[in-house]
Amino acid sequence: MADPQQATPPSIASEHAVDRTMLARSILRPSPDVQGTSMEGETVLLDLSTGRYYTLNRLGSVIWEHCTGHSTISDIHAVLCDRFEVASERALDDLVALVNQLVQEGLLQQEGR
Amino acid sequence: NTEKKESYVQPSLVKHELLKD
Repeated sequence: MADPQQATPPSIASEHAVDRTMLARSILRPSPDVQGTSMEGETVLLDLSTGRYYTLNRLGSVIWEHCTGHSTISDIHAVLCDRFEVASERALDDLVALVNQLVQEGLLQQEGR
Repeated sequence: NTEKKESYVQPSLVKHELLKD
């Protein structure tokens, strides 16, 4: 049985990477073929188009819950800073890194508003 | 405001095997 693996490392550049100048205008929504279920604070994502599944930890789950097509990256960043004991800069770096991974794996779509 | 904030951990995404020999 294959071991779980960290999804696409955030260090890998991609044409889909989040544009940091667009954080206040970049809306995030789940891809149509992705279904998510939360269990005990963690989230399992199933991509029906590829058959792959993914798990998000507690913080990843909080971020995913706000990717409903209504919140911008800046909105989600504000939620993290308000709710968690974390420096603003670190929260933003981690948020952008995770969003990049989710977009690169085809789990999230981003669009401007 | 003395509201206690939750502890922070780095958000992570883990990919699992294909949905199985």
